[in-house]
Amino acid sequence: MKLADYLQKYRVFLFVGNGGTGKTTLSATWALELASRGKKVGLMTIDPARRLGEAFGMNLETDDYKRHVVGDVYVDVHLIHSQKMIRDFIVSKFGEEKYKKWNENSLFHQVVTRLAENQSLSTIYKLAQILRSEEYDYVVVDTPPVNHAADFFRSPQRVLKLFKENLLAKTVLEGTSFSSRASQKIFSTVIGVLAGGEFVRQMENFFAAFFSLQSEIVEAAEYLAQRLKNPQVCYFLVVSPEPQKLQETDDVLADFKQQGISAPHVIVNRAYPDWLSAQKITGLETWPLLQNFYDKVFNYYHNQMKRVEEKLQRDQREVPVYFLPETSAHTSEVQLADMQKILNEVFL
Amino acid sequence: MQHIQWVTGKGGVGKSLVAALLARKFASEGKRTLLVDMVPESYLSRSLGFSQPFQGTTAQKTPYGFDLALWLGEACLAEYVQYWVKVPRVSGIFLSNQWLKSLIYLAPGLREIAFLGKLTSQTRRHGPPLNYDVIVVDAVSTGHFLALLKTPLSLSQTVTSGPMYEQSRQIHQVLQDPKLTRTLLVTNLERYSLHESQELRTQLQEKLQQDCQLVANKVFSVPKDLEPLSTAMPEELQKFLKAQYDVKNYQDQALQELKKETGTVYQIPFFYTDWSKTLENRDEISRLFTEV
Repeated sequence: MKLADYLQKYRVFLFVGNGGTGKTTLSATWALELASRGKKVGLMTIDPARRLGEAFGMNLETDDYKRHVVGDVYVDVHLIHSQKMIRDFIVSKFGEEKYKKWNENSLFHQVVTRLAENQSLSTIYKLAQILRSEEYDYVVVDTPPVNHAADFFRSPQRVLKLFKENLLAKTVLEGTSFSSRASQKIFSTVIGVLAGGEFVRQMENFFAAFFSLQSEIVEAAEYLAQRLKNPQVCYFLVVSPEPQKLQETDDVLADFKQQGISAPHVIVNRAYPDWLSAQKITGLETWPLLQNFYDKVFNYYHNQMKRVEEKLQRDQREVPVYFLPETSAHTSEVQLADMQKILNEVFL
Repeated sequence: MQHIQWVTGKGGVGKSLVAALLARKFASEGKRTLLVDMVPESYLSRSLGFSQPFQGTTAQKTPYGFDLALWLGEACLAEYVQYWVKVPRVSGIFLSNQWLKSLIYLAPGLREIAFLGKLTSQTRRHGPPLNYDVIVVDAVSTGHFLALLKTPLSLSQTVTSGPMYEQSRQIHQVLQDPKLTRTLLVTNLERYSLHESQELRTQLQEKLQQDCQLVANKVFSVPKDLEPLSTAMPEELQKFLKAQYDVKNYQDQALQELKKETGTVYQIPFFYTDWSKTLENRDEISRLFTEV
């Protein structure tokens, strides 16, 4: 597909994939490219890498929003600081004092940290806000790194489940949910022996706090679960070319299918070094050592490319697959402009 | 005495291969070695040739002389309960309880402490025996790793008495003891990977008073006495050669700086082969992790 087709067909672009595949850089490049075509773009990114802050001139510690002007239009960069968002959320609901008091409880502190690290809560909340604002021609989302790429759109359901399960846990702690007294007694005795009564009491405090956040987040999660199935949403699955990692695409495709979402377009990132030619260079007998070395390195990348192509062909994929080269990015600062050039070459 | 070796780093730097190489190295030295995976159906288990899911916390033999086990927090907790609540009927009621499942899912630190409890159980003589000389953990990536290591401390600060307190404190002590536990932080010699590794290293030092050993993965090398770049070469070959030297020069410099800042840095070469061939190369592996 050409870039122009993407612009016509889609409004929202989500980049999904494992950590370390280059999602953040790719999504930023994509956003800049759309803006350079005269569109208003919202870019949402989670735990951004330093390179992104540098590219947009943001202070990653303190800024969570910056308008990056490109000619007559702009890219609005929204950074997700999960910890800060959850804190603000609690403060707005209960006030600073209550938050401080809870925060002294290191168990509560840990749960908030964990919720923040899980990132789906804040991602869902913020993305729902951005999409609802209808402020942008296009929205580009760099999703949190996950073990399995399809985890992202399961996250609204997960959040719903989280609250449901939480309700169960709460009733357990209050001792109101057991069918028989005997089983409740066994349960609380074992918990008490293993963890101690103090632990159970501390947990109750937390659940009370956490529970009061429910309605707003559930509402956002339900909205997003629907919105993510819209045909105007395009998913890019960013993968690295190692064969075992590529196997993950199978799981992801199955997941997308099961969720009733159209299959992701695949970007194999850093698929080959930029010096790699289609054919092996011949006639190198004059330089035997170099020839040896070249053969070894060439064969490695060539075989890797071949395996990736075979794998993707075998799947008889109906969606586009793009190969992006490894550039000299690892030795110098990634210039988003260079990346943009590559994207243009690949997508035009 | 049993040793614990954490292997962590940012996503994509090659943690799993480094962990497997380290396990292979220990095994070939005659140490009973267990490699622990924390992610189901992971890149690690697939690369080692396992396609069947793991059951519970049970270890399986790999062809490379070490065992592999998947330890999920839930499974560690179940095993722990079964071990201590000796009556199977009672532990059964406990474990099949739907509410317990939700509690485990959400309860702060419970899964983490169960995992760490199992990891340190042999040293603390607490729980079923774990007959290994070394346990290598292919750990979660950096941010999650910090949170995991902080769990025992947070728990022992919150729950200030009872068994949970005692256990958390003991676990923390084992993980803090440099004679028992060592952390390898894998990095690539690339600009941003280096930045992030430095950040994690600082955080480990500041927040947990823990030192770690850096491992540079995918280190380029150019054979000695290679014919020098010449305009007589085909243009594409020149491009290839130049790219190799560019990367190598950048890496050499990065490595020098890293050594200056942190002392010893282990180096793992870029192998240009797949996992199984890499792990079969015993001579090469015996030379790894030896820099003093």
